[in-house]
Amino acid sequence: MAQKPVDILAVGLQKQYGDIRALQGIDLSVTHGERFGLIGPDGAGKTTLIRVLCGLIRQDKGTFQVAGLDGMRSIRTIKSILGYMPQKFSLYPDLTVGENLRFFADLFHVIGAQRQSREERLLHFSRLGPFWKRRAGALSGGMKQKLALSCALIHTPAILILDEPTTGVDPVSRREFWEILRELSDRDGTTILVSTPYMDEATRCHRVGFMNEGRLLATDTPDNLIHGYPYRVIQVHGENLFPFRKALETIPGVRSVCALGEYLRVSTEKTDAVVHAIGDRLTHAGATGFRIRTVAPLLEDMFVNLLESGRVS
Amino acid sequence: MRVIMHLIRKEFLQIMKDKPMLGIIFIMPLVQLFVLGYAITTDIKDVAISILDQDQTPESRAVIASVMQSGRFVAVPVESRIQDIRRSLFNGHAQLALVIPPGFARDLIAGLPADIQLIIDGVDSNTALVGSGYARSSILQYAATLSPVLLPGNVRVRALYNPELESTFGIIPGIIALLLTIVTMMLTALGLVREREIGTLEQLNVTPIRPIQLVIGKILPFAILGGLMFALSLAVAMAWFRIPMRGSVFTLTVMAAIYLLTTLGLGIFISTATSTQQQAIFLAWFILVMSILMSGFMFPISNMPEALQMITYLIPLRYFITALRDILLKGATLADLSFQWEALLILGGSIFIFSILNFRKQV
Repeated sequence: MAQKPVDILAVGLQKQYGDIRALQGIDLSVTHGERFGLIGPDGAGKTTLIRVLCGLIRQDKGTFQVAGLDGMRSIRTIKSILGYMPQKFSLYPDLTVGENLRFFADLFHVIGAQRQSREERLLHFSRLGPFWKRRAGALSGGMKQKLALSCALIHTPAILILDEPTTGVDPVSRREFWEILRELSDRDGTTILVSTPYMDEATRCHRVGFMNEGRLLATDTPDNLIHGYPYRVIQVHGENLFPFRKALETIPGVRSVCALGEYLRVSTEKTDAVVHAIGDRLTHAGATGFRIRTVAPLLEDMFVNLLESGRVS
Repeated sequence: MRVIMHLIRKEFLQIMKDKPMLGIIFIMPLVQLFVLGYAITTDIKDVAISILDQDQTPESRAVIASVMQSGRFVAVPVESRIQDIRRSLFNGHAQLALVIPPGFARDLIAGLPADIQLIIDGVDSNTALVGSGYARSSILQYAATLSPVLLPGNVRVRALYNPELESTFGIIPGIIALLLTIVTMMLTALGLVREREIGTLEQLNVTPIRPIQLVIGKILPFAILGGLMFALSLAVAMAWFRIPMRGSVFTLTVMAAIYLLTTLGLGIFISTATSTQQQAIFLAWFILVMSILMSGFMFPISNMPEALQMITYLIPLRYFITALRDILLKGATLADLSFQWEALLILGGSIFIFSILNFRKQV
């Protein structure tokens, strides 16, 4: 990817709201055609970063470029090649699906045959065709998001920025939505910067940036991030294991214990001795009929670890 | 320009869909014109008057006849004691009492000052004062018949432009000016705040639209609606209330256009100072109430304390009401109204420019 141009470049972005340091020096680069996922807990600064990059708010310090254009000087040109979809549904609820789409087509001066072909394509992938005459306010959550995406795509932006587009959307619509995003970047070469609170969505990105407290803590492909996880993850399956949670935490080499419904999820040092110690401790404490198996770490494990090591240092 | 046209089209699309709102915009003015045109009147009719004639002479009876002939009064029967007069005023049976003391005719014939007492119920001071004014002029008229040269009875009042002193002539232009203020200021403020509330303002901000295009595309439809409503109200005022239109349509249009600058500017200002429609409504009402009370529409500016009179110079409605009345009733031209349009242009221009700069800073 090194030879591809950088579409979004941020250098040392800082933004402060009163005492809250929303961005504490963000360096970020997203290359052409890349799907880049921003993840992090609420209040990490994801929305602030996105709003700065779209020119909706001005950063206190640092610079950014979009498609090679300076974010301060060429913001109007940037806006014409950028598609933005905010977290909250922001179209006219009293206008119909068609009227909303046409309005944004008009604003970007998409007219004639060009408009027709784009409308057809957007309606095809969003499956909003049958709802052309329905008021936008009367659409379901998932359809609203697809309409918002369609409006953001009407001018075929080279760069698409989405702020938690699937929050509050049902799982089926979420999967469809991500299928659309995948097609946009893989087939059309659209650069996508998307923030999400869902780890499973993050794994659908080429690269992921993990944000916390206004900082970008780690940036890499999901696979590399997972491989970089320094511990082993084991799961203990069995009935009524919850009371034994505390007993496991005191074993040397156990990093954390997490009770998840039917099983305990334990992250440990990478030694077999620890696994044996866990079995011994459980038997000693009176647990019966349990199974221990080693599983692959998840992106989530990596981020919990990043959060915790950040807190220690 | 192309972008502005699209914004205007979108706005009308939304306005046309909002049928109840459309009804409010066009029916509210008519209802207000009819109801307020009749309700707000400073003309006094059928004032209850109790009369005590302690003189009982042809002269005293002539005075009473003269007062009653004016047609403004309804006599309330009273006993022949002064206490009855007091009671009738206290009970509210009468708003005004006329007492002719004994010896009235004697003094009159002797050429001495002859006393007549008018007692008014000061609780409703407006009715009482106007009523006593009518009674006085009737008495003076009677006095004039006695000695046309010497008595002040030959002072005649002739009301220019409004010979019958119909208060509707003054009130209706005031209502129309007020309606234009309400419609354009409220719609602009709420329209912009609504876009902010639902987030479309932000969505428009990531398009290459300039803030100035956005503002113009947003306020022009409301200016057009306000103009239509203004014309409709004027038509009703002329056809139904017989308000004369002595000035030119050109003067009227120019003055209205200048005035719109202030109302639309105030609308934009309200939208920048508030973040929800509720807040916007409260701020708009504050401005409206100040305008209604301080513009001279309800209370004469000359009656206000001097310090407060200074404030009235900051109320745009003040100038527009004067201008509208003068155009309709006096046939005033732009040259006659130079103070009004200059004041409005300065006031409105600064409100408008300040609001737009403020708006640009926010988006």
